[in-house]
Amino acid sequence: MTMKKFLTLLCAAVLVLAVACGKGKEAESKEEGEDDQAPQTASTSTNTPAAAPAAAPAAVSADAATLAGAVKFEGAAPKMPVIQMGADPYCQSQHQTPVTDEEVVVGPAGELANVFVYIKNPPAGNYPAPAAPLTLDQKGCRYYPHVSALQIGQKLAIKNDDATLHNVHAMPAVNSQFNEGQPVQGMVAEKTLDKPEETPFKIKCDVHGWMKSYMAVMPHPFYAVSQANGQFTIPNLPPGTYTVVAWHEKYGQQEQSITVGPKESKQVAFTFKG
Amino acid sequence: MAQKRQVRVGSQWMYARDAEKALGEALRVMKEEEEGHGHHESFVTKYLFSQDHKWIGVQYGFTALCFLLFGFFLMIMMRLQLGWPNQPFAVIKWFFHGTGTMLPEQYNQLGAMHGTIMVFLAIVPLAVGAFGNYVVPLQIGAPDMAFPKLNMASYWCYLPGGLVMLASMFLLQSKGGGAQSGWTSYPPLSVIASQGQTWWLVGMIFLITSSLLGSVNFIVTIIQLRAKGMTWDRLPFFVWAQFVTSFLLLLAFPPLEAAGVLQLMDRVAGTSFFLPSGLVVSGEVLKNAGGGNPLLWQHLFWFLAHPEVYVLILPAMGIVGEIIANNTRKPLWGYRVMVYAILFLGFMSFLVWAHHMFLTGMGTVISAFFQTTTMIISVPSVIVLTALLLSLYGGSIRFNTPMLFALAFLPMFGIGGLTGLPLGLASSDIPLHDTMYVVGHFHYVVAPGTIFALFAGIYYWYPKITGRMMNEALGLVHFVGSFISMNGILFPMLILGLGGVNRRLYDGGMQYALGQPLHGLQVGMSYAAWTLALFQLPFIWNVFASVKFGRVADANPWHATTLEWTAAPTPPIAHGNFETIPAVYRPAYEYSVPGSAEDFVPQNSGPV
Repeated sequence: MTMKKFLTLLCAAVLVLAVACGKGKEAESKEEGEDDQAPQTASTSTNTPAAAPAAAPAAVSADAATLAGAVKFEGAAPKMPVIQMGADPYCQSQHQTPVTDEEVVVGPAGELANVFVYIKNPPAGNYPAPAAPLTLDQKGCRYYPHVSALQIGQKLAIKNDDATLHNVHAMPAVNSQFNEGQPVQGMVAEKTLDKPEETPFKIKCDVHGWMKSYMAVMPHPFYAVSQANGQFTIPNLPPGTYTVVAWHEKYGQQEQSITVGPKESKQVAFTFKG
Repeated sequence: MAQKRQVRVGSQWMYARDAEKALGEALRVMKEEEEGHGHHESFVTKYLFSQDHKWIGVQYGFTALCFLLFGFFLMIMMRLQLGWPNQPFAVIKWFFHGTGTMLPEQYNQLGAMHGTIMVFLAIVPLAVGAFGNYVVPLQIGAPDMAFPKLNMASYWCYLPGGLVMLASMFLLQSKGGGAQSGWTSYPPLSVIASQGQTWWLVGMIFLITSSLLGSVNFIVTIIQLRAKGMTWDRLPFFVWAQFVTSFLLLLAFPPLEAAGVLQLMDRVAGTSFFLPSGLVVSGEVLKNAGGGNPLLWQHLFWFLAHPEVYVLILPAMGIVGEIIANNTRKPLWGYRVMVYAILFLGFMSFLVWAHHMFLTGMGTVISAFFQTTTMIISVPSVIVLTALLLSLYGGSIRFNTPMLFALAFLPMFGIGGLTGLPLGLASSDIPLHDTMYVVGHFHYVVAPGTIFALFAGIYYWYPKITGRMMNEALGLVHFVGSFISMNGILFPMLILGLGGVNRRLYDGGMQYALGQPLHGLQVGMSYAAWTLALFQLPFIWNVFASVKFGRVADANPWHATTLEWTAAPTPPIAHGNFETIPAVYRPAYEYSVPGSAEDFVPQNSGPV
């Protein structure tokens, strides 16, 4: 970290030379965004057929198995606090009923949502990034989805659907941080994250302190996020033995080793304790 | 005593020390003359790495005017956003490679860079680097600055500093852009800001070094190289102003240079000089060593930056003094009092810095101290302004372009100064702090104050530099348009501020109920800004075209008394300035002396 910053300093010192040579090479902007562009959500929701591993490798093995499962919560679900949105009248006006924090979302039968599940040791192969960008939407002063992942090289489209200023502050540990304002409704900022970061990092809004989202950057397409019913599905998994990791923003992560056979539909269950 | 012994040189007796000086000077001139025959300077040594104070002055002047124009362009983009918040504009799209809608962080870049460029890259280099360099040695009868190489080094620290600042805006747009933490660079935000802030600090270190080299040179030159007879009470007021300014630069900048290095270490080496322990950024506790103090930066910064305000204003007062004396055809009223006033002003300027920090919780005792010193420092400013006003009384005033700008300086600086009083008192500063009122106040001091004086100086000394006069008609258009539109931009700022609109708001306060009814003012200010831009065109044309088409000027077109007009040819000799080093026999402003043939008596006019 320190070395990197020192290099920055060094670069600044030789900058005069660079400018004198007239080769001020403009770093290509990755900020271009079409206002009316509405990219398909390619998040990791598992219930919709077009979801998650829509990003599967081009050649899916005929033997490919499907890993499905459910995440449960054991114990009394913590009561999530009501978010006070009074600081921004616009945000408050977007909700008729009180909105609660999304840190722990537990269903009536103990289903735990927003758990990020992925294969830790994926089969070797080249997994091209999906063409469709992952959309992170800001609507009603909340992030949708709350937990998501995208593949390295896949475009991330961050959209502001609110008629108020949002500030997208991504705080990855491995990838470059960014911190960008979106003052106008309908604005889309496009980003590309180029390093694997399997433990989801936080994205937050510096204007509305309650807005939080988590995002992972995956080198392969074998990942999913548990839905409101706790279900997730990872399709197109070649037969083999894998370590499956389930990560939750509050309760940390768990691992299981599984073996899937050809065309098998494997079930796996995770339980987080409160 | 040894120094009392006299020696005979030619037909004259003189003290041994004076003879030694004269001999040294004679040898130098002879050497230069010898070199002058058959010795031609290369393009590089003549125009690029020149050691001639006049060319360095021109280099400073041209570079600073370019930066002034660029800083103005940044303001134009800010005014687009403030007048029509969040509307896309092609120029914004072109500049930031975005969608054309200005993002808040882009507005912050414009604000930070406009301030930095205007203060450190445009006005100070123009007032001190350009006018100081060109005029001071000529006015004191010196063949050059005391340290020509140091002078050259000063410019060549200034230019890279400026280029680093510029480059940060153009090269880093995909990495968070240029500096965004204001011209004040307050931590902790400046320490955790994007890469552009590091470049800003590197640029500042270059600029501070440049100023330090320059100030040492001015001080030594003014003390050591005054012509014979140029006693302290015969020094032109402009030289006095530059002298005090140089002391301010010399004493105030080192703390900021040190502070700049410390902040750079905080950013690149993981130190925590200005970062406290347990600092929470975006909901996360920062993993820094801690133990630092953000307020330490504010003290170090303002210890420079308040004297810096006087660095901005003193040369302007000096220029205005010269021009008023010349165009009223009268000696400056209260010359000595003015000199004492600026000496006192210089001293006091080191004792007022914390009036920028009334809201930091320093405590009432410290606040009371600094508000007292602040009220005291207004006294010498008022003395100078009053003396300049009284100088007009009874004069047969020539209303040429330099004089118009110099006259406009008086009420404009007056408004700037008076609007500062409520900010200098802790209790009235509380509601006004960080509002547009503050922006209006300091712009009145610096824009129609200092910049008008600089315009006056350009029109006044242009014939000495180029040998041709600038066009008076274009000058009049430039003056009238600038005067009206400048007030059109700045006066509404005071109203906005009193209405509670904060400064540094990317949408000009439209997100707040109190800002919305005042939005019409923002639109009007933006139109005034375009008008101001329009009225700079005659000036730009005038500067370039007059070099070729201007009326040819003789050595003393203004019928002035000071040495640059009366002893030096136009333009002055490339190395050495004067045919012979002049001797001075009288005060600086001997205008309308009863009994003299003309209405001015040059300083070097010998006793009859």
